[in-house]
Amino acid sequence: MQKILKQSNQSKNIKFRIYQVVKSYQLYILLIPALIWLALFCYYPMYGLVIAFKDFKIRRGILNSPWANPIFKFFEQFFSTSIAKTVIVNTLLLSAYQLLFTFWVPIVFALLLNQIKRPMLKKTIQTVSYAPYFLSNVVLVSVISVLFSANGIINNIIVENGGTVKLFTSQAQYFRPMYIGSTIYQTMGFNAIIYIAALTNISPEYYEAAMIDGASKLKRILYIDIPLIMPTVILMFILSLGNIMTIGYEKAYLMQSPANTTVSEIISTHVYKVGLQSAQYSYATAVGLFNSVVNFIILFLANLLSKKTADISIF
Amino acid sequence: MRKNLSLLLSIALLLSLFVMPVNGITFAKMDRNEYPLSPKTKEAVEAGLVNLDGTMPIITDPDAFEAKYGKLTSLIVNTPERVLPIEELVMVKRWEEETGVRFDWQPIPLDGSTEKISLILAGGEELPDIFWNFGDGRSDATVITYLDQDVFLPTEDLIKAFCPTLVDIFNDNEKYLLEATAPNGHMYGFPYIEEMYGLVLTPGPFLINKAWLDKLGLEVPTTVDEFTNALKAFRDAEDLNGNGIDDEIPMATIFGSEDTFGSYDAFYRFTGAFGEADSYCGGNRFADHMRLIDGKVTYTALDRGFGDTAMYFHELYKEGLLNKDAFDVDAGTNYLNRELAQDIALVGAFGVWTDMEIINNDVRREYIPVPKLKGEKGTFGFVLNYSEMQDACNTAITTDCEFPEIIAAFVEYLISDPALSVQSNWGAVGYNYYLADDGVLRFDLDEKGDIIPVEPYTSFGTMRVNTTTCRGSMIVLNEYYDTVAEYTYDAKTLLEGQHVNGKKEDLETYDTLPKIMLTTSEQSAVARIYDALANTVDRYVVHWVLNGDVEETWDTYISEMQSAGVEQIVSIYQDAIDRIK
Amino acid sequence: MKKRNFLLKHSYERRTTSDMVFDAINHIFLIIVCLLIFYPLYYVLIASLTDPTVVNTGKLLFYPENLYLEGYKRALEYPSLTNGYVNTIQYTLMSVVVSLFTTIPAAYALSRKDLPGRKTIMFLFTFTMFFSGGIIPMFLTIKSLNIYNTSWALVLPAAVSVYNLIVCRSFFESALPIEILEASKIDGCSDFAFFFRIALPLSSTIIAVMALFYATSMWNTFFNALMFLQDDNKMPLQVVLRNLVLSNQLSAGSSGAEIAERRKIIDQLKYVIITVAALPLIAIYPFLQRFFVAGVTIGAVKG
Repeated sequence: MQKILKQSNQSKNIKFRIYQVVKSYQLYILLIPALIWLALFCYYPMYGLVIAFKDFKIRRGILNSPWANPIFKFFEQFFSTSIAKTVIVNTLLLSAYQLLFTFWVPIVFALLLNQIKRPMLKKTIQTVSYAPYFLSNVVLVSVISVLFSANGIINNIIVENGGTVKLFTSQAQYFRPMYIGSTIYQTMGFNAIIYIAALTNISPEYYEAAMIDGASKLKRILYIDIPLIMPTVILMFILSLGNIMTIGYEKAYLMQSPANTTVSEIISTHVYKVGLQSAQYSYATAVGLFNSVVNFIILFLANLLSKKTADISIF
Repeated sequence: MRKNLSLLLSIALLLSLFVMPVNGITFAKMDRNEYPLSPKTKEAVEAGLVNLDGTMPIITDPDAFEAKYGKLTSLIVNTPERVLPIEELVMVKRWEEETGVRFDWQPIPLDGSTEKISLILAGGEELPDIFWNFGDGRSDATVITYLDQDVFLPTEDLIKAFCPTLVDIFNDNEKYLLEATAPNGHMYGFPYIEEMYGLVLTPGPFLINKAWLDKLGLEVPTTVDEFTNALKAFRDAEDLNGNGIDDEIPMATIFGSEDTFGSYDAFYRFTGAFGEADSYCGGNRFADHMRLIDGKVTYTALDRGFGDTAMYFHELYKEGLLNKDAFDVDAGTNYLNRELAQDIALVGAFGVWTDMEIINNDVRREYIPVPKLKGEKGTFGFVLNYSEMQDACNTAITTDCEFPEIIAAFVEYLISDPALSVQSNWGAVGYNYYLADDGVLRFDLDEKGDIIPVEPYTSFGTMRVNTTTCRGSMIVLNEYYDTVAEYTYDAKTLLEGQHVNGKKEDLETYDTLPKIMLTTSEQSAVARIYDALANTVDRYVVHWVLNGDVEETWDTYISEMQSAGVEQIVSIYQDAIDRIK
Repeated sequence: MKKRNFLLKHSYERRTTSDMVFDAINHIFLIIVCLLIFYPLYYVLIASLTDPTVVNTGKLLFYPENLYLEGYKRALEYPSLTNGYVNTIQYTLMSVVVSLFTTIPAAYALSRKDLPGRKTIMFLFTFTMFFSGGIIPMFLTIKSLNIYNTSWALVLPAAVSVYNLIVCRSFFESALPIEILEASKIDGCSDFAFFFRIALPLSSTIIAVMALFYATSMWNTFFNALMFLQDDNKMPLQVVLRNLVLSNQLSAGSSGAEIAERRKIIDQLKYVIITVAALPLIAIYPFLQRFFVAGVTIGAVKG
């Protein structure tokens, strides 16, 4: 009896599912352009990842090229010299430091800006703050290189005040600060928008209640603002965490100099240089694949953790 | 009878000396009529459209040929200063007129050309008929990377059949033959040779300001110590250039400069004075820091003298004798673009490629090249791992080309007439050159010795790139100078300066790595590791110059280089050298 | 009425001294930050107008001392510059249209909790944020679609940004409460009708935001153009400007006078180029600021 019930329930489920799908056909139609894009430009080219396991022969194309012998040959090549350790460590450190130093800056900025009541002033500051977002990496690095060069204005100020010339653009010890600093410059205002928005959504009743109790501004920030934007914060954190190993190569590549590659050579710049400039495609794809897999694992774990503890997740 | 026989035998023996097998190739000419033509070419020859007997034109009826087969596609790496489309360059038009060969030129911008070419080749499907060039010095490495992928057509037989001039050149210059032959015994493309009495084999001249020395009553330095003292005197002197400000910079350099001929990074010039001379050349970066010592490939940047050179530069740095922006690799901020562009002399000593880089003519006259400075362990100066055959595989024919014989005949046309080759390289008559009464191509110079540019161009360089393709498979030999054309006018002082610096002794003393081709797997390995090695060297140099702690960090340096693969790269090149012995 | 509300609102605000101190410091701090952000951009602007020798000595601080317009002259004379601008504008407009057409409907569809398979589809999109085949397969795809060396090679691969899709989806989720949908369904409204007649009109803010996001991205595109376009006359602004710098760097064999001018110029050209490349965007966005902030606001809060 139960079996029959179960079966009929199952078939009912399937029928129901089909009904649901058909009913929503219009929504699917709305999805079509995006799905076509997804198939053509994301999943179709993914077959290219298989290059990492093949001895790519261009005349035969990717699919007909022979398998690498042994199959993990290029991964072996990557891990056989010190370059693997260098780039992995650099990538992890750069992303970790970046996350550490850039994550909280927009939040603090938003919290402070929220306390400014004059609308004109608030708007002006906010507008200026996300202007840098519109600068491309090429432009940004050019700005940095002219301002921080040995003859640039920053060094002139330092020298006039009795200091020695600092080699911001070439020495290794300045690379990470410059990189992260420029990221903060680029993204602080833009990322703050989300938090400012969340803050304006806070009902004034909370403030009124707090003020009646005599809470100072600082207390109000600590006990009202911060807790109430926490969900947003956590979500943004997960998203950033997921990017921990896919720092794009562009800015690091532009900021590289021979003296700082010990910290500036990250996985993506190595892949770019070896893959595209020296045409070692299989090797470069293998390294890139390694990068993506690790990245994905980190994101998945973070998502899982956040789901379990705070019930917030991306998927 | 016997006498005749022995005579015949001895003649045969004598002749065989000239066709000495090298690396398995006997470089003898082939009878062009016996060459097995590709099917399409055969068809065209039989139809009377193509003429391969060595006379011009090659394509007798260009319109008919184009109607039937289309144009031959040629991918060319463009240069930013070129304003005209390739088809409209004076020399290109002349080539087309005289040979009847019409190319469909496909220029790609210089910026990102390496990546683009990689992508185009990886695309695999339709390749252009020829790659006219690949970017200076890169043809060999690119061709090697694709050696076993059925992309490029071997050309040694084509050369033997259709390029008699080139065969003779190879037979007269064993070095070129060795450098142009890949390890698998084949040749690809056609060489680009620009002989200028060895101009590109050592860095540009290293200059010192004679006017300042005179003002201070100093002799021209002949040793490193005297040189250092001169720099200190420059620093301490009040106002040498007469502008009232104490802005004189004793010495200028650029650490880590990547220019083709290693002229701007003064560090390497001094390595010879403290130990083994290093080798450093942007045009052949793979082979940086390696030399042949007693036939063995040695990584000279691991020599202890290298560290001592760094200590010397540390002293210079501490004493304030170097320019402030010596460590900025950015082209916009170095001494070439700043101090050398002023109307007064600002720097005491520095390296250049050509003294023309000192803009103001009067300022330029204050400088003289420095003689070969003697140091503790040797002398100043080094040699580049470069070759006057700057590219072995230009005009590389792809396997998609249906008319390789036409290409070979075209190259022969380019190189068989020296005057044509010279103009194809440096610019056309009526622009860069004029034809003098004695039949020699000469430069139209003004009283100061500068070229008079022809409208609408303003310099030798812009005239050059806008009248010819510059790169390709043209050949200019030393014997052409003063018989066919004048020695390039701005290279005269360049060469003289190099000689004063000690070029001749350097070329005799130091053995460099010939610009030979590696096997595909060797090339891949080198491509993966050379960057890390070069960067480690550069980084330690900068660190040592700033901190002076060579003693303490030398062992770490060595071990870092080892884990980055220095032994692997040395053994790869050693194998390559042993192969050609 | 207003005055009364004002009084009511602020009657609770007893300004303690600590609050006033806080306010003062906060104001000053934020204003300084604002100036610090603004200054580099301002510096670049004035440097592009000043005599390079002044700039090189580091004397330039607040206003252009010796007005020197040679850099702009050289840039404007550069024949490819207008071409580059036209190309970039064309690509940007195309990109905005295509991207809006793909992203907005999809975001709406995904915002509907009753869409079967919603979670899976969402995962499929998100997955691509981390895994991609790399540039070679992308190049091969573009070649096989026959769009190499056309404007489509830039516009199509960038048609959807998954990040933007997520933001847009969130907007729809919060701006269109389920009640409206249910009410309209009772009235017999189809999904299409709802989307076109109700959802879209309400989403002018997010559309403006998406347009700005995509426009910025295409305006700044450099690497993709370098790889997927071949003809010089198709190159967008960023590539053209790079060429301008490269072509003014020294080449061997130039005569003296030529080099002098070039050397002096090359520093200034950098500033000119930065200004020319970034100015249009920076000039426009304050006007869109209204939509911008509102849109991102609503879109992101719900996450």
